[in-house]
Amino acid sequence: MIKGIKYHFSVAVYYIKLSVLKQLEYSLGILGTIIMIPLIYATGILLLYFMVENYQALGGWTFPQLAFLYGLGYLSHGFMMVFSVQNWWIGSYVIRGEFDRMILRPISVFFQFSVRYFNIIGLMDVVVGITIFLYACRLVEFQWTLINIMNISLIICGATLIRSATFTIFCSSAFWTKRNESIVNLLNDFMERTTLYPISIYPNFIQVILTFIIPIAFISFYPSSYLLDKNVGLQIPINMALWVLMMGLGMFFLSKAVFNLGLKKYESAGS
Amino acid sequence: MRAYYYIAKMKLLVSLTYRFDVFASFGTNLLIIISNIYLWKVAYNGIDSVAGINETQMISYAIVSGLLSSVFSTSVEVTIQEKIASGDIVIDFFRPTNLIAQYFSEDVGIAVSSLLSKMVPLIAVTLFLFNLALPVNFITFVLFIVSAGLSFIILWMISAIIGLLCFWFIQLGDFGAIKDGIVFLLSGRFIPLWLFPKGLQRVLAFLPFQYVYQTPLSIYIEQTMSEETYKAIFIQFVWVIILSLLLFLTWKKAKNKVQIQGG
Repeated sequence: MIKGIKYHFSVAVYYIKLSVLKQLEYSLGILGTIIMIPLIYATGILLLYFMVENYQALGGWTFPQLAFLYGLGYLSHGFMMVFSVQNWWIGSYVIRGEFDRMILRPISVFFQFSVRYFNIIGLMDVVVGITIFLYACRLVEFQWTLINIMNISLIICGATLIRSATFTIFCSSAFWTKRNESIVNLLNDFMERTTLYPISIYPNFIQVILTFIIPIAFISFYPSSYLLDKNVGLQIPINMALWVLMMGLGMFFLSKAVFNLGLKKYESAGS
Repeated sequence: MRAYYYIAKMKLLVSLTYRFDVFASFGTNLLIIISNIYLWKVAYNGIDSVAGINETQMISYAIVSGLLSSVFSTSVEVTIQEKIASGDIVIDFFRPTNLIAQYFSEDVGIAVSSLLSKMVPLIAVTLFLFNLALPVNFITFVLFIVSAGLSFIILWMISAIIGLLCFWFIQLGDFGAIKDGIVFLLSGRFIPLWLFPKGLQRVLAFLPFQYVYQTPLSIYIEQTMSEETYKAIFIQFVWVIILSLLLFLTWKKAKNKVQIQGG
C-alpha cells in the first residue's frame, strides 16, 4: 500500500516536472498577456461593485459579502486551472490519439491524465483569487482563528475537487462526440454565473438543482454563507467544511467512473 | 464582389454544419441572458428606476445585449494568428482577393449563420419566457439595426487590427482574449456605463468600446432619444472611419513585414 502510494507520488512529481519544463521552454514574451487576462477577469468584481452602489445589496448579499463569495469561488477556479486544466483538452487528446501512449503504460490512465499537466499560467489565477479573497476578508472583518483557517483550507480543497470533477464529467463526453470545445465554454460561463455570484438571486428550482443534482452550490455559496454566518435555509448534519470536502471526494470518484466509462469508448486516432 | 459573397456563403454553410456546437453555444447565450435577467430583477427589487431606467427597460437591455453577443463574435484575430503560425497566410496572399475583405466576408458569413441558428431561437425563447419589450416605434427599430450594424463593423475592425499585430509578435499569446475581456468590461455589454463613476465615464467616451454594445442598446430601450441618437450614430461612423484608417496603415506595414520574412 505505502509502496504503491510512493510509486504514484514519484510518477506524479516526474510528470509535473516535465510539464513545467515544457512550458518554460517557450519565450517569456507572452508573460504580459498571462498577467493581463486574470486581471481583466478579476475586475468583474468591480462591475458588481458599481451595481451594488447604484442599486442595493443583491439578494441580501452586501458588497463585502459578494466579494467574499467571489474571492472564494475564484480561488477554487485558480486551483482548478493549475491542476486540472487538461480536462478542457480531452477532445483534442481523443482526436490526436494521445491516450494511446497512456494506455500502454502499466499505471492507471486516469491517474496519468490527472497528473499530466501542471499549469504555471494558472498560478496567476490563484494569486488573483487570493488577493480578492484577502481583500474581502478585511471588508467583512473575518476572524482568522485556527478553526477558521482549517475550515477554509478544507473548503478550498473540496471546492476545487467539485469544480474539477464537474469538468471531467462533462468533458468526458468528448470520448463519444470527439470534441468538447463548446461544452467547455458553456461550462465556464455556467460556473462563473453560479460560483462567483450568490445563487440566491435565482428562482428556487434552479437553487434546488444546484444543491442536489449538480452540487455546484457547495463550491462557494454554502461555504461562504457558513463562514459569514448567513442563514440560507440549508441544514447540514456535520461541519460544513468537512461536508464540502466529502462532496468533493464523492464527485472525484464519480468523475473517475465516468472518465473510465468514456475511455472504453476510446478508439484511438485513425490512420 | 461575387467572390466575397461566395466566401461568406461557404463560411455560413460550414458553421451551420457543426450542429452540436451550435446547440451548446445557443445554451451558453441563453444561460448568460437568464442569469443577467435575474441579477437585474434582484437589483431592482423595490426600486422604481435608477438613472431614469426602469426594470422593464433594463431587462430588455440585458436580453438584447445577449442577442447581440450571440452574433457579435469575430474570428479574424484567431484566423490570422493560426495562418501565420502555420504559414498558410502565404496561400491567402496568392488569392486574387483582398485579404482583409476576404476575412471580413468570412466573419459576415459566420455572423449570418449565428443570426439564423442562435439569435432567432433566442428571440423565440426570450419572448416566450420573459417579456422582452419591443421598440416603441418603427424608426427606433430601424435606427437600432443601423447602429448594431455599425457596432459589428467597429468590433470587427478592432479585432482585425489586433490580429494583424501577430505579424510582429508571432508568439502573441492571447491578445484576442484580452480584447474580449476589455470589450466585456468597457462596452456596457454587462453593466451599462452610466452606472460607472462620472470621471471614468468621461474617459471611456473617448474609446471605441461603448459604441460596440451600449449605443445600439441605449437606442433600443430609448435611453437616448431623437437628436442624441443621431449624434451617437454619427460618432459610430467617425469610429468606423478612424479604425479603417488604422487598419489600412497596419495592413500596409504588415504586408511589408511578410515580404521581409519570406523565403
